[in-house]
Amino acid sequence: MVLMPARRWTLLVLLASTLGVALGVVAIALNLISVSTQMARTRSPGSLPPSYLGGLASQGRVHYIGSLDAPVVVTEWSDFQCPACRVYALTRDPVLEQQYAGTGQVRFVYRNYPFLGFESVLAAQAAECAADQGKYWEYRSLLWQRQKGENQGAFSPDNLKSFAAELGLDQARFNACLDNGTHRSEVLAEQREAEASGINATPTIFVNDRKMQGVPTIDAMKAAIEEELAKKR
Amino acid sequence: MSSRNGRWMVPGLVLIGLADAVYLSVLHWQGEVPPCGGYGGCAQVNTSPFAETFGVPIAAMGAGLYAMMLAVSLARLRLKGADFAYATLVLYSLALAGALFVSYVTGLEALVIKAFCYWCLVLAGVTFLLLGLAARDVWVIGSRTARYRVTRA
Repeated sequence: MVLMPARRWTLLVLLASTLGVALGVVAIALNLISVSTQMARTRSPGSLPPSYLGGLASQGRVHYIGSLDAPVVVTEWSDFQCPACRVYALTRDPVLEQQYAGTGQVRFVYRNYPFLGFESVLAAQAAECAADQGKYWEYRSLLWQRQKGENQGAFSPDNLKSFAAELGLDQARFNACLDNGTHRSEVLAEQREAEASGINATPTIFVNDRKMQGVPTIDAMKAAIEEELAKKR
Repeated sequence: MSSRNGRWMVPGLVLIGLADAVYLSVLHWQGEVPPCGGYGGCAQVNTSPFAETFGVPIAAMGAGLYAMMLAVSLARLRLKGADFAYATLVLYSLALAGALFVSYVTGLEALVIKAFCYWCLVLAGVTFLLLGLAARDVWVIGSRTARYRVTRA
């Protein structure tokens, strides 16, 4: 098989190698730029439709989105170290909130069930400390984004404090809140409440009284919500 | 590829990689995570911020790359001479880009995400095999052009 002069082939191989490396490097660079953009963009009340804002609040230590009068309440018990909770929070919550929270018909309630270890408890406390400064949603979003393994340091006190700095919280106030365990008893009380309710895994989601475990599909969640809404009509 | 059966090895591997990447892409768009045998690593990796580039799942980018490799590898089965050589270079170039990217992703899994996704590791392995096969073909073609130079001299 006579192909072409050796010098030309060598040049073509060099060209192909350069193009391959360039394509790979561009793909990697784009991914890194995309991630850094994403890290800087956490969900905040400001980014939600105006109809949410009336109901985006913290009631005592219970955080919710939607109307307090909503006939259907979706309660999500989760642990910030649980990968399945992360999947649910990142893929289901935004879709369901977008569709239902603004209607006044469904309220989404977020509860802590920090059962995977000490970093779960610390992370939940840190989210409550952020809530004290009106940044619960941003902090919660950041926790999901930074989740890495279980009790391996991702949610060490230093990291949790650095997340607060990233969100521009009053650092001294946040540090004192976390170091003093200001919300520890509340978080542990939520854990006991969950266990008393028969919850033994995360995420556990209640659509009114209907218990759903694992990571239900969006369609399954919508079907459950619609069924509950139909009962209330 | 010298043997007739061997020539199908590249398209066969490309098909495996394509199926893997398409499967991961579809799951990503459905908001599902791939089964991981009870290990949470697949969920960790596929829902990490690195799993998307500006909203496009990196698995879909991989599927696009593999679709191009499939077209080239199938075309190569019918090509001869210089055309075969050019197609091999394109395949090598695409496989090299893919290998760089899967190395980056595997590095992220090991060092940043600290969890592994088996489906991604299979894709990485297939990509490196394809790079090896394409590089070998480039080498074989190169050695023939070297003989051509000697003959002409």
